[in-house]
Amino acid sequence: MACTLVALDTSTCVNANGGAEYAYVTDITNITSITVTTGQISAFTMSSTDLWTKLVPNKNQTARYDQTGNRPNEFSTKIDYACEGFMYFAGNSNALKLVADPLAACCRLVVIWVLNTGALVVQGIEIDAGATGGFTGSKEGDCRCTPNMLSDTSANEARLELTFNSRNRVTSPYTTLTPAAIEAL
Amino acid sequence: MTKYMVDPEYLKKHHAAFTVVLNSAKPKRVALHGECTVTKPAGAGGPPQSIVVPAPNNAELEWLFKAGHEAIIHVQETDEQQEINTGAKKGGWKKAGE
Repeated sequence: MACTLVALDTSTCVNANGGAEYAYVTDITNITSITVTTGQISAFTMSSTDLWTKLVPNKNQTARYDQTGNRPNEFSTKIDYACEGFMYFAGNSNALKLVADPLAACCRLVVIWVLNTGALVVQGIEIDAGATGGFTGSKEGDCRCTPNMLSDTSANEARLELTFNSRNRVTSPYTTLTPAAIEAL
Repeated sequence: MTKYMVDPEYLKKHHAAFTVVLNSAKPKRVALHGECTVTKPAGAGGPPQSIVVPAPNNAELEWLFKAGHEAIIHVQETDEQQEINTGAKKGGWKKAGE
């Protein structure tokens, strides 16, 4: 691969608040194609309407989406990114079970994380102009959700924790769509 | 005159395709396969309801084409007329990004 490097100068202020605010989730088979503009997803085309499910976790500074680079060893040319998103929902009830079970049942999820920086990053997809629809799922490991339904003890809070894991060859793409546009899909 | 249309080859692969057009203040949902009625299931928001999703008009197709949507092609009207007359795809078709 050609090495064309991009300069970065951090002397200007940027919004660097960590964490995520909320997310939209769908099954990858609901997406028929994506449109890419200068490397970012500028549109999703879906097989029906209202297929993005909005998940708004508790605002307790735990929601996040991290991509950690891995090489088999420091000299290896292979690299992939372990992608992990997390959300926390207080409570323990049938209503939370009805959220958790379908998420666990989906084998290939796509999650749009609305980060606290204001950026929207897409887990579970890799841009691939040569693939049908212009995308594939995460190339090294499909995005799946593992729920934990915890009563914990009386000293703590009962909760549903959702962890979304996938493994990419490159870091996740961003989308220029706004939350309003995603909700209109 | 330039006219935009949804690529029939795209619709062969995807019998239903919905996207949003962002050329006005409010995002507009459109059905690339043509106007249709969608039934939203009952949920926390209330009982089931049917909504009509319109097909994109020419201005919206043009916006989607310029945004690079792979399903939209533009065609010179004379070529389109030729296709109607002969059933054969003529020159003058162009996909987004070409």
